[in-house]
Amino acid sequence: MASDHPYLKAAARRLAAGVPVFLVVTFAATALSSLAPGSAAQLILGENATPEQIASLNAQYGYNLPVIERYLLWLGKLVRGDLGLTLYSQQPVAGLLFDRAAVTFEIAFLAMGLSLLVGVPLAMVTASRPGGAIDKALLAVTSVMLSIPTFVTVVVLGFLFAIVLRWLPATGWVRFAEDPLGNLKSAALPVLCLSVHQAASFYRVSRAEFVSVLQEDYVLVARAKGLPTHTIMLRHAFRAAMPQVLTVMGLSMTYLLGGSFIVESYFAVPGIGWTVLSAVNSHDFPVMQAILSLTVVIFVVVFMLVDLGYALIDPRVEVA
Amino acid sequence: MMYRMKTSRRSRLAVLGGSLLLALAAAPGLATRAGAQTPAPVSGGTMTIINGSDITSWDPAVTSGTFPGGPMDVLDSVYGFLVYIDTEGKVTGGMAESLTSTDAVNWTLKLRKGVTFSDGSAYDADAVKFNWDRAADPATLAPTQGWVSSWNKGISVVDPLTLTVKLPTANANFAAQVAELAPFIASPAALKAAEKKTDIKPVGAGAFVLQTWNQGVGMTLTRNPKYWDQPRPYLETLKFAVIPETNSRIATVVQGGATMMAGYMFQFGNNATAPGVGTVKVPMRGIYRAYFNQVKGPFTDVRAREAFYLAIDRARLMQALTQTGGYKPPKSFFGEASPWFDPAYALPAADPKKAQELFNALKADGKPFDIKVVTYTNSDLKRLGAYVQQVLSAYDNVKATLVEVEQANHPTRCKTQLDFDVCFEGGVVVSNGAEPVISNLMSSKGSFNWGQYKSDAMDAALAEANSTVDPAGIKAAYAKVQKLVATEYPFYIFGEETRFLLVRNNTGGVVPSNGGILQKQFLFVCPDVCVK
Repeated sequence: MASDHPYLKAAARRLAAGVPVFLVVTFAATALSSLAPGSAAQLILGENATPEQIASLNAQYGYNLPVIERYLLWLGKLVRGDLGLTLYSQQPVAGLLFDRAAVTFEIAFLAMGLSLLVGVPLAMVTASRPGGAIDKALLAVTSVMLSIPTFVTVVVLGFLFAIVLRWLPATGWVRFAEDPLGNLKSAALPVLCLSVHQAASFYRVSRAEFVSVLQEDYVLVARAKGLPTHTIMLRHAFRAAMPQVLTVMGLSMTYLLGGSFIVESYFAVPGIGWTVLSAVNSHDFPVMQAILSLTVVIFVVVFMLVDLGYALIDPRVEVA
Repeated sequence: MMYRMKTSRRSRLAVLGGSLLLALAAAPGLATRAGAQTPAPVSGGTMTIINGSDITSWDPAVTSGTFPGGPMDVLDSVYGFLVYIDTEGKVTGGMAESLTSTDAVNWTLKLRKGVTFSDGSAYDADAVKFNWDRAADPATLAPTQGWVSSWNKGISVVDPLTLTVKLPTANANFAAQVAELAPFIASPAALKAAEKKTDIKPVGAGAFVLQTWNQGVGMTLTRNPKYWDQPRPYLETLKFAVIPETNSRIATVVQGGATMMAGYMFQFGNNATAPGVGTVKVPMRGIYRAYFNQVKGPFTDVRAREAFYLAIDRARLMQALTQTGGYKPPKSFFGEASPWFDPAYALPAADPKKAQELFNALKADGKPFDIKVVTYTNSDLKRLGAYVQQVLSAYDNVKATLVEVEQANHPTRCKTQLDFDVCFEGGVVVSNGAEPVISNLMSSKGSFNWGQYKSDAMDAALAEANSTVDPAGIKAAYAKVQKLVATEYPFYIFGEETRFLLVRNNTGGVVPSNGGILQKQFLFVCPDVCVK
């Protein structure tokens, strides 16, 4: 039976463990949104509205209900598959979530791909000659890259590529279906900004892992057999180093989603980072809850995949 | 005397002639007002206007200030203003031909013939009455409900194109107040169909029709083919994009990703002279202000308010805000070019010695000058707040605590919760025409009167200015207002500034109105460079 498969059982167990996390996070969001100053009614009616008018509109929308009641109402709708409508434009939240998440995932996957493409091959090169000039130079460069916060990266790269060189658009987003090249152009700056930190991170982890693996006995045997370095790297060291890189990839996804808040806001990219910030500021409760729910699901699934990935890559690891 | 709200003949000429040339002939006058060098308008094309935030409702009864990039600027695209206020402070025709009175009590609104909403229904006197009655209904929750309900009982529909309003008392500024507070008329059918405020679909008779709205990202509108003033609007497509970060907005215009954004020259910096970019002045004086809490705390004592004026050099405060020099502290609510300006009454210049004496006197009377300064969290306001705190900390018997809040929560903190001693606003409020801004700021029931300043003398002076039709009488009444501004310090006026638009240099037909909103029906894409 399929359900007896150890991987499926492990996946089901991990997903089940994510349910309490989901409930705690979404409830906390409801509670925090009640504590935040201002209200949707204040935003709808504007700053000239009287406190009585604001209270009246909040009552119409149910924002004056106790936190637990609001949460249960939302949860009840969620169970029925109803994410509701955005508060102001009355768009279906499910559709909006899908659109915005697609943008964030595209940027996140491109950033991860670029970071891996840069970080891992460079690590393979320098790990074969640790302590060399290139190795030392890259260690210095990656130290700088890791120490620069994303909010600085966006300003510097935005100024350079959008204002000075004018190679890339300063803001905005073009859908792939509308214009594939335009889509890549609009994704380029956000991807570059997110990749600065991640490429350095992948480089550091991979290099350390490759250096360690290259000192293993079976690698020494391979060397003794006269295998060329690139063959040893690709056939032996690469797979052995992968579990560690996989762990970093899992963590990287959390960094990329977190970084999307800054990058999307600065470059006006309509992904989930931009949307949740906008929803918090505009007290759009249905949108905020939907994105938080999605984020929790993403994190649970990513860590589950990382766990299962270990077992797939390394036969010594057993899924439990 | 007749308050003039002239009807434009541009449309009729254009229709009669069937010629673009006639329509174009009217444009240079508009262009001159806008400060842009606009050549002959060309139909077609797309423009994208970037704003810092999105709208939250299409409710025509919710009006919240006519500054460029604000919600009313967006709603104007779909609804149009019944009447506009031009850059001289005069009320002019818009969707309506005119709104006039001969005695300031009985007002007549003349509508245009053949105007229809985009759902095909008539834009007539009944529709206007429905919208105004709706705004007066407490259930609508219109911020202007109190004001509209004070006169909507006097509305009479004379015929489909004529509506009269008999005011309970004379109000010479009624037309200007309509232009600011109740200018939007939506299709009654669309309003009746909406169960909740956020269900309202934007069905107007303005220059554009909404096609798509992606909340928090932007919206796309296309030209209304039934617009009354053909061949306007010139643009085929108008887009609004939302980019909260100021520098990102600027970069987008500089790079050509959008047509324009509103801001201040100090924000644009060198970008104002970047290739392909120009600036257009919105020629309306605005004032920077902060509110003194006059319900509780130190500023309930007029000496504290005076001390605040005396303690800080307002020119340097503006320098801290804008990081540019050359500012002169405003002398009064009115600019020196205003016909109402009276040089006899001026706000005090900085005088640290006298300020210290007042701080000491307050302390001696058991009223220590311990204040909470509220600003919001953008970098300009942070600098301003830090400067205020730094200057005040140099005085004895003074303590200033800085509180920075998110801009979206600023009105809640200051206006609703009154949780401040002095609350700084980041943008200017336009004060070229006196009303309704002056009463909103300083009358005891004014909606911008966040500090809740109350003065019978001020209320009487403002009412006097509103009730007379004689310019000398208005000037005399406003002299009393200025005297009170310079002696009671209702709020803190610390700078004056005009807004600018950062535009692509092929942006034509920039016609600002009211507090700086653009009349979008005039916008067009110039074939060549038309803005320096």
